[in-house]
Amino acid sequence: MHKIAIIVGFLLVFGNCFGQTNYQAQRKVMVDLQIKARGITDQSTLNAMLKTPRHEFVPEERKIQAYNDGPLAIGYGQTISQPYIVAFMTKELRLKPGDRVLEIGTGSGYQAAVLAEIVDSVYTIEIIRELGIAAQNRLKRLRYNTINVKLADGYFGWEEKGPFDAIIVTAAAEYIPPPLLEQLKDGGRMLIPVGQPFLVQRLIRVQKKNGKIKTNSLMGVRFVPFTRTKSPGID
Amino acid sequence: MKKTHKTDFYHLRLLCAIALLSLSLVCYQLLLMHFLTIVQWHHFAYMVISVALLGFGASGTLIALFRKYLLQQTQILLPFLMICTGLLMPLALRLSRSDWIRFDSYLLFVESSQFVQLLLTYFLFFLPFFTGALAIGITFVKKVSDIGVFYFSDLLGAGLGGILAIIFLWILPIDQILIVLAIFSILSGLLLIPLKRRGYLLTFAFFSLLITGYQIGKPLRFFDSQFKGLSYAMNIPEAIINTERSSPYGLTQIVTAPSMRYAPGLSLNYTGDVPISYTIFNNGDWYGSILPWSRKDSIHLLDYTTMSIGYSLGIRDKVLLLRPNSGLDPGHALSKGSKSITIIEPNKIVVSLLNNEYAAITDSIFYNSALRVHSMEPRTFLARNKDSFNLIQLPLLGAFGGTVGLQALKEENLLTIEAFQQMWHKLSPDGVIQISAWLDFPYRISLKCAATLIESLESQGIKNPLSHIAAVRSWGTISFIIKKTPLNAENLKDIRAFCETFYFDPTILPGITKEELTRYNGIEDEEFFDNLNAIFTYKRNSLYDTYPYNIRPTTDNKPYFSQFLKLENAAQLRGQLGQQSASFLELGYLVVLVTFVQVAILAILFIIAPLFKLGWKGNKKLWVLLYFGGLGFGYMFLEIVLIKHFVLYLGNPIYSVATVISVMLISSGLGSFYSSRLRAQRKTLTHITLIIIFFVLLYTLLLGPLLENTIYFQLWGRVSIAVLLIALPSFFMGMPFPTGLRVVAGINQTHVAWAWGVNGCISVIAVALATILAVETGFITVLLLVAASYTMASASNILLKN
Repeated sequence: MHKIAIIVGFLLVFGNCFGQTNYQAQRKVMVDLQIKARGITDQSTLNAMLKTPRHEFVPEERKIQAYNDGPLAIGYGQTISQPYIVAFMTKELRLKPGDRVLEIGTGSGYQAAVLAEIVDSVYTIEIIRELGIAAQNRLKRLRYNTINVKLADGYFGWEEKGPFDAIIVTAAAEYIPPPLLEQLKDGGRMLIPVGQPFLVQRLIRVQKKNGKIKTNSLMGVRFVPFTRTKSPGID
Repeated sequence: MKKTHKTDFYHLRLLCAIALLSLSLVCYQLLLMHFLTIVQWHHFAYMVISVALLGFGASGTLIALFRKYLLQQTQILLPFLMICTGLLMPLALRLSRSDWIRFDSYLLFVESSQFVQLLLTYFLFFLPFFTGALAIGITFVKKVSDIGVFYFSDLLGAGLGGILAIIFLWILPIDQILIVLAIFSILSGLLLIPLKRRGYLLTFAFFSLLITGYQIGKPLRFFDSQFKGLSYAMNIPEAIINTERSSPYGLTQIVTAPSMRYAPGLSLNYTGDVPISYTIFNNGDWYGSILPWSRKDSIHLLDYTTMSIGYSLGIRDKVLLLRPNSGLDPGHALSKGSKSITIIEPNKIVVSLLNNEYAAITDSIFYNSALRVHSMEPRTFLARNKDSFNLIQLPLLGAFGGTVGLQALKEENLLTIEAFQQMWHKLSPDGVIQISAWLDFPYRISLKCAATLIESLESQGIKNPLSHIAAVRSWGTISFIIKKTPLNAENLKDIRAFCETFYFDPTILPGITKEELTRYNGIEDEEFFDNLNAIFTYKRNSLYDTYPYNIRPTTDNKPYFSQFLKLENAAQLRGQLGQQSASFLELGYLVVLVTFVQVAILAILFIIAPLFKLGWKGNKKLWVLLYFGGLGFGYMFLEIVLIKHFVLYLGNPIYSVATVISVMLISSGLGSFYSSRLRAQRKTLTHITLIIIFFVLLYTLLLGPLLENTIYFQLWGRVSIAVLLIALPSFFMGMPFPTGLRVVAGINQTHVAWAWGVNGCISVIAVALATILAVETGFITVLLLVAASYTMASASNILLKN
């Protein structure tokens, strides 16, 4: 009986270590095959993706799929984005360590955690109470102390903590809230992914420069047109 | 034998029981479709119900395999099966809502466990149709010499069921309709309870009624997919369903929350507040938004969207809004000084809500003397009305973030070349047609829009069509206009000023420069502009052929605007977009393809299985297969074609579908009744099928022009013409099946059930196949296939001896 207890204890302790190692290895594979291989070379982004334990941000029953090349449902109709999309958005924010970042739509907290690996302060707002509280507890447990979570309507942003160098709206609406544009620093970048769950198609970057605003649609999923005869140019 | 009909009381009871059972089965089928569309999407409803309807084919298989035993027990078996059907109807639906069976169609392509739940759902809904069909099938086999009369009662019941379903949906909630239908089925069983051994059956009926009655007052669990628009909205804190209306138009719900807002593709120079809105959902999908509006408001939110381009060309005093976004577009038109606004909104419930409960929010906009509201199909209005307008506005196409292809198989009659031709003729000299769309990626909707507009102009012989067309783009939407007269220098100046003010970019404009295209809003792939250019040149057809998506304009023959998938490119798209994304991009059409494959496999199994017992050769099996298969294909194909024609003719989708189905079934029932007088022989079968072929060919040539020339008639006139045109061929189409069954009985009694099964299976395949054919080749092909199917049935008679 005693021997069995020792064996079980051994398995529990070392099994867990093997599991951690396994997750680390999976993260490495994820970064190499899903992110680097698709052309993302920004070192701070790659490091952040390598450090953040994605499996901690997905529901227990989906942990096994945590490092798969796709989004995962996290409940309430929300998803944790595909790793490549998270990396792409992080890279496109062009962050520096001292930047102050606002995230609208905390979800599982994964994107905020990735951002916190690069910048000093991340402010994130979640409107769905259950998701927000779960993310807050998770981030606290994982010791992401530079992330501040607020349960509120993201429309109004977080005025008292602004202006922000970068804003990332992970739960986009049919409009870009005017208060968010106001809280964006001149020279700041805002990123909005537009797409259905499981199908991120467009990524919009809003830039504010000298009071003027310009948007740019970036490619979330590179769509390569089929070979065809060259179309005529624009007159 | 005919005298026995009147005297034999059991015979009469059996006729009534069959009619009542058919009535409840058809009602149940329509209710199920309605319910599954609410909790999932209509494609999935269609997928589940197709399998359930195979219960008819499976019943034929079972009877063919165990004919002797089943026919010996009919006195007990028939009431038992009918009571069973009643018991299973509400139970199947309730169980399908339980946690361990309920599936989320959105996750089907992501989580394999969802397939187990889908299979369980199939099985649950299959059961009541199987037991019901078994009772009908046993009766047909047993009473094959009187099949004309029994088939009549079956079709009469089914026809009345179609009408009753619509009435029920207006007056009762779904859970109560279910109970009524269950009672109908149990009553049909009670009608047949024999004098001997009735104790068991009465006890069974009693407990079935008790279980059914127990469900009174226990509302059904409307647990939507978590990915439906309504579920998203309800996740917003403090979201409440303010109003709920169940009707044949679907379940209409109006939701509000302190943080619910709507401003489609709002300009980035808008600095005001985006007001809290009420959101209308129909069957859990977004339908429209109600924003607070007052005639005193100096600005309108839509001024800051590309949807204001039409008004940037000056005052539009006579406006036609086709399927407008609830009160938003009419309010915009009023704020722009329009004096006469005609609104075409087919959903009567939405009109009623805006007229009553929500009138105060929109400053009673629908009571404004400038507004006239018509509740009908927009195309019917365009065909019937003779007024002219200086702005015709269509609804915003697509969905924010792109569609997932769930509209792929929706007939969009308003977006065809012919529809734009009709609109063009209703424009005043300075009039414009305006259509807007959410920008999607890969680009599909905007390219198809441009192609449709340019081809509709060219088809009317407009010289230099590019001088009539303009488009502007924001970060999220694109709006096109086509103007009756060429855009002049002042128009171009106005459009450029409009873009400059609101940070929009001109996308199509005579004399546009490359720098103008992306001044404020950059784009993923600038090849989009090259493709637009190609659409305006002779290179268009080459682009249609090589572009990975179907962007060819739609026509009335193939009105599937949202069907972008090219089957030949499906595999390549999977490679480029990843398996999941490719699946979601064209979910709707994929579901129908899956439906067809699964139904075809099951149907073939059900058709083949009895042959292991009946033998593979002899007894005119090939004739049975070709004849009854041909009838199954022909009947269902024609039903689908007639529904398409009469929805536009009568102007109301709900009533038109009910009219076509019910008139067809009842007329066929009468034809079946009449066929009892005909001799069951080869000559009769050939003559009847030839008459049907004659009608089909006649309709292929004349139905379109006939409906076009009489669409101006008053409603009663159109309904009379519709009933006549549907009833005439349907009367004859009711004859070949019962007469054919009598011929089969003459050859070999044991093959009657097999013939019934073949017809049942093929009918279900036909519906899925007709949809695919209509998408790929158009409705004319489907109509020609009706003739081909009946020709096959007719020609197969050569295999019979005289």
